[in-house]
Amino acid sequence: MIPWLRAYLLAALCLLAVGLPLRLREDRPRTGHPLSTAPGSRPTWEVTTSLPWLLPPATRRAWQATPGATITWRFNRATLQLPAVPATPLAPTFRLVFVADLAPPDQADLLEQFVVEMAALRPDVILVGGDLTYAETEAWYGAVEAQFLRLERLGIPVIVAAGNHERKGWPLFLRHFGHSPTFRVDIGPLAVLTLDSAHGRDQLTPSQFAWLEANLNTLGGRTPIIQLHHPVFPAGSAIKGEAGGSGGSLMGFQQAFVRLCRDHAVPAVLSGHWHSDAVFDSAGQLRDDTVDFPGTKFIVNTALGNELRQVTRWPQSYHGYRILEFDRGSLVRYTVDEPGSGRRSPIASTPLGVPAKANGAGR
Amino acid sequence: MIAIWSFLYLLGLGRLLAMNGFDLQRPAAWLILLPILLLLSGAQVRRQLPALFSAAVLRVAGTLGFAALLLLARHLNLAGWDVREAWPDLLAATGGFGSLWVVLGSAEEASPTVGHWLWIAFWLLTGFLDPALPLVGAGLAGCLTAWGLLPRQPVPGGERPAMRPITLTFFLVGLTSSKAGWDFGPRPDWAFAGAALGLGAALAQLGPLHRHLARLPDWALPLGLGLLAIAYAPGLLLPWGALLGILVSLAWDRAPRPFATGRLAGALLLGLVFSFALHSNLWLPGLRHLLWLGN
Repeated sequence: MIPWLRAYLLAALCLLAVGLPLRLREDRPRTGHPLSTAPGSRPTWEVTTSLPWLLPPATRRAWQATPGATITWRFNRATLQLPAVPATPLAPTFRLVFVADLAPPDQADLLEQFVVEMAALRPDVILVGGDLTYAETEAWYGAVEAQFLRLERLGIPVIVAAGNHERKGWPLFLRHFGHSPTFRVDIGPLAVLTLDSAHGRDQLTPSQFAWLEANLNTLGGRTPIIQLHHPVFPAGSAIKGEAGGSGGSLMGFQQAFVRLCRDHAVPAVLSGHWHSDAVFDSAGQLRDDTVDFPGTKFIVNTALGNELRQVTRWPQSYHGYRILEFDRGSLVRYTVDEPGSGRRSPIASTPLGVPAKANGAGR
Repeated sequence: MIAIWSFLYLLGLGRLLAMNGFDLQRPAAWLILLPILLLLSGAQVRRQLPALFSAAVLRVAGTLGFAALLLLARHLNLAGWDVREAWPDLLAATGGFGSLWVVLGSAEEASPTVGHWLWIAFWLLTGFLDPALPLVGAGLAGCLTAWGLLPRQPVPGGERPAMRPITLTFFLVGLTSSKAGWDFGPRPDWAFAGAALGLGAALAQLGPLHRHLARLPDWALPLGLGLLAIAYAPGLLLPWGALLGILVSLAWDRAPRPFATGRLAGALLLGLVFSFALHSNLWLPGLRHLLWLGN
């Protein structure tokens, strides 16, 4: 018995040796300031500490000095909840921009152009659906994060999902964009649910699916919007090309996922990965005929900056982003009009303008 | 000690590398493979160079391995592991090499006892705090063993034949034990399954239950492990882990004496690698419906 007691005593010392001095990691699901400081919400701040139930003294003092703040623990994960931000009447319209498959370093101008356009457009939130970087270097991850911080300083929150390319520089992704790749953010009338479809290589896993189901059951009157990197459906009969092997879709829990979206009236599921625009209905059919079909819109977005491809029969191909407009929480628009046609395009995203350098509008 | 090393170092390292993206593009990453090479060739090395396994060398190796794994855990704590960085790769290799050297150089011992399985449960649970911590448990056990401070049970008799099929059974142990890790990914909840595994294995060593379980036919072990590889649900994480632990404990009880370290730990490692490939959708995509219930 005594040898074991001695061994556990040493084990406890080892835990202290690893955890001291106390360290703290912010488990922010995005860059910049806490999104939950939006009016009407209760701001929360999640951290992981190097030893359970212990905060660095300066942090503890700061938190305890905040009036109305409460701290809850789960072993070494602490959640600070601040008093609710006074609610202001929600604007009737809410504008969300979705992008995916960002520029590699040699196309950095496209990312710059996007930031310039967002500064003019001023959406309520930007969702980034994975494949943020195609160069696994500290410098490039830092550069992309810096661009997002520029947007956040303009008051535009940026919510980041992980794609398959993030797996190549996973520690860098976690350090720059937060250690919780599956998370929920309530903003305006929306509950934005971000999934990590690349975690199991094009699959959701059981625990992730259970997390999604639990969150869809506790929406509190908000409209759910889901972003995940991989398209939910394959191109099917609309296939044009495999696009160099990138034409894959969600493999794990696909049917259950679609059922869940139907049962909870999810208006849109946003994906990237194909570097090509497409919109599918709940039966997995490419809807290049109309924007007015019932049920969830499974939207695949073109690349913001990486190589363009054609996966389905939809012919248009350009770098771009997608603007989704909500009226009192209802999705009212998710495509742009075809120029000169006078009709709504069933699929088209918004083209990115001419690169900022060419415009003379650099940093 | 080999059970502790297999579950805390081998499976822990495999999980860390899978989560952080292991590739061999940088020379430093090759260092991590050195303990694996030693695992596969250790018995031969020991036969040919017995002087390198003297008590003094084992003490140096055990202490060095422990220190390296402690430093590794401090380096990775709350930050993750970029395998392109040479320093953590060197620490992981040194830690694995040193602790494995102790395993190979120590006298043959009986199956893991309740105490050993509880040690495994404790350190797997620390994975909730940080996924690198279980490796420290392997390093500390190696160091204590080298200094004669970890309780050991002598082998109860001469040679003992193995159950059949023992290699397949250890392969399935590796395949199934890593499953919760693939499910939860960066979330630390997989550590609870690990703790349940250790507790289940300890429970299986307790008197009356041990006698009942001893009557289970050999074929029930690979069958049970195979079924657990399919019948996994995160909502039943603890009973699933405990059941897995019972089967793992039985597999260890029925391993041959002397323990075929290279073959059986190698089979366990192969099971881990195969499990990663399956759950990462790398091979045999048609099997994916068997991977997760409800998929």
